[in-house]
Amino acid sequence: MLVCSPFGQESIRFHRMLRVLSDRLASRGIGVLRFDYFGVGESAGDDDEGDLLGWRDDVLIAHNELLRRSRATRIIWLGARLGATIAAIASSQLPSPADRLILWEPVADGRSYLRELETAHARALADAGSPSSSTTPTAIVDEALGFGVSAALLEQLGRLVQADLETAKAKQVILVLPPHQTAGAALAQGLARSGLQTRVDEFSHVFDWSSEEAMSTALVPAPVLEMLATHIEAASDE
Amino acid sequence: MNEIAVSFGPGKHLSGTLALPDELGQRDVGFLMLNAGVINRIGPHRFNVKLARRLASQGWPSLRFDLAGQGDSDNAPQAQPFDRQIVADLRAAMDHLERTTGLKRFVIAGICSGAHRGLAVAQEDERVMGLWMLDGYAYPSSRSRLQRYLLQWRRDPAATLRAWAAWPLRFLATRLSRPAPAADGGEPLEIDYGHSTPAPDDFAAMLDKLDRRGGRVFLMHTGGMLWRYSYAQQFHDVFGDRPFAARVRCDFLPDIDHTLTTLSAQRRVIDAIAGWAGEVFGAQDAASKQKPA
Repeated sequence: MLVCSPFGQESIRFHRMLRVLSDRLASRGIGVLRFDYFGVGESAGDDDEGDLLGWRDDVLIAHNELLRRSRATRIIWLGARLGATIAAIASSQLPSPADRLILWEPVADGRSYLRELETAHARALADAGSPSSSTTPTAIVDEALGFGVSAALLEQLGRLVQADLETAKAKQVILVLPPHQTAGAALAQGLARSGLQTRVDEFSHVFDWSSEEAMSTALVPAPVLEMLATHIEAASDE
Repeated sequence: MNEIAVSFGPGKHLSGTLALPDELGQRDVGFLMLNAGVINRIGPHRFNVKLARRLASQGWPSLRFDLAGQGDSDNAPQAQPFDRQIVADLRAAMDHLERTTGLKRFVIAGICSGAHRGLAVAQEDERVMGLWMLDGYAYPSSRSRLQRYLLQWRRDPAATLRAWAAWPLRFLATRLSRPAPAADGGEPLEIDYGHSTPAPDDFAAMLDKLDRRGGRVFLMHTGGMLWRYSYAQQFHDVFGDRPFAARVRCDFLPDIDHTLTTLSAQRRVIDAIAGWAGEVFGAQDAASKQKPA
């Protein structure tokens, strides 16, 4: 399984979950590759050197590395949030379709996502007690929630629309979405219209994606671990 | 600079990343960075990565790593009680950096609970020769207490009056059952899992122990600690009569938040650490290189 992590603070929140999930899968014989995109986490590059196209190519490099090291005959991709978006876009570049794409709350509208980041950034500063902070969001210029953002990434996010995800190439797509989400339903319909076998899993647990709180919030909520493991193990058993 | 992913410790249960300068041997100390709260070894907003790269560019090797059961690290094969395990993990990290670089003196850079952990291991391992502590322990002075009351009053006069009126009851409750909540409007930021703050004399003794062996300390308090640390001279007002005080650097950065959420805050703090390291340990590097072989 190849993991495509979310962006920024969401990636930090998801990190331990992925470690625990990877252990569980590895103990059942499923190899997992987790990696950081260029300019993210432990990878080379500064924050502001990353962009969607580069990260798309990073996913393809990681895919080939996983194939080379694991000699697996089938590869499942798991992407979360912006990582799901990057996974969908990257899969369109594969010579043959991915066996299964599991896309958890993908970002299908870049402008909405930027607004979410703006709101979370303002809230984080206010919650952190920064004396000069305000809860009023301001447009992202070069940073979001403590991470540098390149002009290219901002521009690409500003243009990102659902149709970009509909270029995905996979034998099956699992969309994990909050219940009754209109945008998610539209994405499912769009993927199906593009000829992708698409299944929606409505998942009611709310994962605290961007919180900086260490206490009173679970890093590895059992329902999330179970949901992800179930989808991946089901795919590997087929 | 080279960055190398490593596993170390008994059973190789700890995961970390070495950041090595192009040329080893320029410096006499190495840096260790660890988790801040439950954030993995990259640090809040990737701060540890940015700091490690900056230090490496100035010749200082570092190892950033995840404590047992955090980030990418496994649980310890024979887990010890929480406090002991942290000390064991930090010592294992020093062992690894020593084996890799030949260095025998280390600085621990810790944020919040990470700062507390650095101080704890410095009591037990004489290889720790420096501590950078962001929003670690803070102790009130008369002036900071007054400022805290004024801050409370300005923020919410009615709630402050209610809190003050309830003070005798709170005092009694605190005596009967610890730990007590911060009912006075304060916002505790320490993530110490119920561990109490050392008494001022105990804290002073810990700094003194490090000072006596030539160790150096750089304390930093952000605006996120305003309830506990509210003016630049607070540390020196509380501990100024101690012999180590003159050698402790203490910066007050009220316009920066606890997790360094802005890039400018990160740059400012990294600049300060790199500058401090150069002043304190750079001079020692030069002195040691003048010694005859």
